[in-house]
Amino acid sequence: MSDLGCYDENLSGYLDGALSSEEARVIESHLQTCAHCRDTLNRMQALSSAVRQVPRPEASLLLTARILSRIQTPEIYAETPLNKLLQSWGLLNLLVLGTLVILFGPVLLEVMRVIVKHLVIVTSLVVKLSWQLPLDRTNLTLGLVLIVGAMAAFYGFGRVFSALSREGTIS
Amino acid sequence: MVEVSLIEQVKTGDLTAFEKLVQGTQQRGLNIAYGILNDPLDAEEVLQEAYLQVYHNIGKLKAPEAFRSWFGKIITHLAFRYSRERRRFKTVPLDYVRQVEDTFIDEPETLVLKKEQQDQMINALKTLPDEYKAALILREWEDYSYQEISEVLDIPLGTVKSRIFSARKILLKKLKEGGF
Repeated sequence: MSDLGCYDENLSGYLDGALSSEEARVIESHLQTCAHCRDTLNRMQALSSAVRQVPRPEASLLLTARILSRIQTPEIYAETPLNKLLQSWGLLNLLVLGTLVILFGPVLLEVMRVIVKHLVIVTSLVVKLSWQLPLDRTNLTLGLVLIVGAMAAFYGFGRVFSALSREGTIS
Repeated sequence: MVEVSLIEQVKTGDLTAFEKLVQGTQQRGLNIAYGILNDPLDAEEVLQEAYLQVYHNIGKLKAPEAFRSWFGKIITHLAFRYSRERRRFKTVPLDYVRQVEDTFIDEPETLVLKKEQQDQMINALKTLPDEYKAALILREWEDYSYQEISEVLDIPLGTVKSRIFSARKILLKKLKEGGF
């Protein structure tokens, strides 16, 4: 007979109270006559108690905070269609700006230098010009598109930068 | 037992309710993950991942009273996956495990005798296949019924019975040499 012969598998189930009443009755009547199974059951009981006594680590006090922070973070960086669009817009603007700087860098620098040098004149000219522009629907729409477009580009690029930082691409 | 009303609140996206749910279930969840992975840090990592899945998928849980089985299922699946990946990419530094286990609190007067037995038991548990370990841990540490274990592990009742029995048989054999 094997070390755990007779009703070995059912003894384990009996210990856990997982047998039907009929199966349990059969086991109980067998146990009265079989010393081997009584011994096995005792050893399984002792084992069960020892397993239950095995120490377990306590959940860290910061665990809840870590979980909550991980839950809230993805919402900010969620890959929604709008966010993807803004990111693409940001990248496109950056690309256009980069191309302009590469192609006309010296010219742009010179223009900037002139603007800074004559800042007062340039500002007054811009103000005068803007007052002369009629406040019609086309101009207002154009202005709005330019402002929103620039803000979206800034936001979109910021998101790309943050996403790259989170992935560890940028330290 | 997690209250049904709490689950309903979490389903609405209530973060305070979710925090309460985490606090009320994290120790049990950690026990299951630790029972399978035998490493406190890995277990905590799996638990964090499990709660992310709970938060994002709790809407799919039709019966809130089945949370216990559902939660157990998420943890065991993630722990199995983690264990497989760990076997592929990393070996557990045994000295470190021992060092962490030594920090568990225990009664000083019973420490010497119990510690030796516990070390034997921990080492024997580590040798069990993950599937056997999961069934045994759910039963012994978290008092899951055979029916619940069958739901958690997606296996028939008969397989639960034989896995728990096999786990015990292996442990008894391993510990016999130590005079258990």
